[in-house]
Amino acid sequence: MNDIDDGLMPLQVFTTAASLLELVDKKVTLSLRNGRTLFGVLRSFDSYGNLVVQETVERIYLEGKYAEADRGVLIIRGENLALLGEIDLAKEEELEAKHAGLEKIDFDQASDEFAKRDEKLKEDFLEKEQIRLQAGLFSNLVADHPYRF
Amino acid sequence: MLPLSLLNAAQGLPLMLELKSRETINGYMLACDTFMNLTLRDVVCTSADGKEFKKMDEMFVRGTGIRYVRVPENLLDQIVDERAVKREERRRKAGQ
Repeated sequence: MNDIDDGLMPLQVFTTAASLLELVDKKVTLSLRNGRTLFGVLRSFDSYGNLVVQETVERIYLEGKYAEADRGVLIIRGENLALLGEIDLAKEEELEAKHAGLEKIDFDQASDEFAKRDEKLKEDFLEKEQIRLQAGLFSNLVADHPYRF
Repeated sequence: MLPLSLLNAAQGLPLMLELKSRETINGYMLACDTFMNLTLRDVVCTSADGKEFKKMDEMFVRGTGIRYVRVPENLLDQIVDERAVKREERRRKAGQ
């Protein structure tokens, strides 16, 4: 992963935000804490995990459907980021082939459906939480908490 | 170009921001600080469901409430180009 092997420093020196250094100018996928997914080119970052992403596309995947919207250049506040990964350009074609099998729908419509699904997750969680509390148990935040709220 | 310096460079330009509360805000940025707090001018604020719009002359946004900021597409390329030109100038001066 790290190209910087001068024999003086151990490999994998960068563990926190600096580990993004090798992803700069690469195509990446981002998952935000609200459950949204973005694709774009990582241009810069800082120690807070704030990012600059160029040519950003937001995609929503639903069952058998997907939608996308251009988002241009974004400055993403680091605390909203759940996950960031490099896209393997060799495998991107496969991804596009998969898209061909999905129906492309209007973004606003997908956004509404996504919000509804989110709401359902929230209700399910609160219901389970209620059962646990009634049984005198601690809440199981780690296993069931849909991170988005 | 650090994220916050890009934001700084966007002063006076139109921005679109999404807050954690899912509201979106469109307006011209007057100023920003290192906390990402912003003051905006000629603002249109769209509610989370996208159905209500509020117009405001001026607005202050606390940085902690921001999810992301969308800056004009050409700004980033423009700054990168400007920096390249400056670097070239400096190199030429150093060579003299």
